[in-house]
Amino acid sequence: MRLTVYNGSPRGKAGNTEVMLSKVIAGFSSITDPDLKIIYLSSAKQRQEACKYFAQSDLVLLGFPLYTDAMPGLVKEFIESLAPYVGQDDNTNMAFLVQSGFPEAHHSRFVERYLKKLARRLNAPYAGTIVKGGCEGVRLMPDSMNRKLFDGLREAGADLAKDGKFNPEKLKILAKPERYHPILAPVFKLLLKIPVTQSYWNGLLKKNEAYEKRFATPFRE
Amino acid sequence: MNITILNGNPEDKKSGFDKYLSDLQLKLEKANHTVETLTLRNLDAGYCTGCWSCWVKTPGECIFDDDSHRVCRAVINSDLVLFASPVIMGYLSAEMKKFMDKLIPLVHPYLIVDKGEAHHRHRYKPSNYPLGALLLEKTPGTDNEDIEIIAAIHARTMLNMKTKNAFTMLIDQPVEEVTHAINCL
Repeated sequence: MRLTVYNGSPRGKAGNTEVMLSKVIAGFSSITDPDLKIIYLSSAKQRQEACKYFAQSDLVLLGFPLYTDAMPGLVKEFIESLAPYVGQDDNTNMAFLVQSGFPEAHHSRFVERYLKKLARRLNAPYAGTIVKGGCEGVRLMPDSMNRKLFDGLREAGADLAKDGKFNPEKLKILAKPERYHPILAPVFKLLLKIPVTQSYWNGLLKKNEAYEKRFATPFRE
Repeated sequence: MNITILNGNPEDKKSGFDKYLSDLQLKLEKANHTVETLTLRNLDAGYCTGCWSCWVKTPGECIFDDDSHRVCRAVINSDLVLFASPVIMGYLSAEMKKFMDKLIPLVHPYLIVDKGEAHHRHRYKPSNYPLGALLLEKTPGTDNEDIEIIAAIHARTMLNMKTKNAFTMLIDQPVEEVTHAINCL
């Protein structure tokens, strides 16, 4: 089983996508030991060679962070390099992972629809898309706080190895919260206003001595 | 209106697309709009590296001194931004997406609640953000579902940019119709 994992994070090995993909791979490897190739699309050199591994694989897993409600620009460049495979028969089984900093999964559902169509465009069986929000701090949290997420990702990886696709019901549970109920909006509003939700950004701003400039508007004439 | 056309056509050779945009610019100028076209493939910028310096180090601007500053400045001082791109593999060109990623300094890292969802806080006054609109070219293999998917994603992007997608049009329509749609805004 040749498994090619494309890490589409602009931060490469230092990002949250890396942490999350590694759990999916671990789950996959607990069922069957794949002939594994990991490609970092943030590297211009790896990005240019990335498409040649597509046809050589039995399964590809493409993971990326949500950038302006879609894939990062460098992932789009990679997708464009797959154009020669459009219309060919028997393309590789495709699985995806989209993570975002927004608390709700809903934000990533629009690009999920694109990814499903992409698989169809490539005549590739669609194995599903892991969608998860609230991931900005994953790499900074202690493992104990990520346990539920990591267990879910490992299980998704194991399902992928067993069945050739993710289990849609399990992905729904993993994705929670999908959206906030309208009744909860005021609570949610309050939650975002309490200092702890801004402390991550404020900490970084202060460390860089940029806190006082945080509301700067440099481009408006 | 002050209008910025972002031309995401990656190829010089596909002159039909560029020609359409220059015809459109002339028509719009005749209708008393001020128009600037930025041909993104001729601008110099790398992909967003996800460093978030534009949020936490040099608030409001990319830390790399590249042409994304010029694009951000044009966008935030416009009334309308036309995102113009051929459809490639079912989406806007990588060239266009590169510069869209680099618009994030225009919003703030803090999250707020908008329409019951978390979205980025505005950096500029909410009324400063321009309307968006999509102008697409169907290339071989593009179907209506692709156009719908692009428009749905773009509506989300515009919501995060404190604005909305005013319309989605295709360049198989005469420039007069696009001009008319803009005049009606």
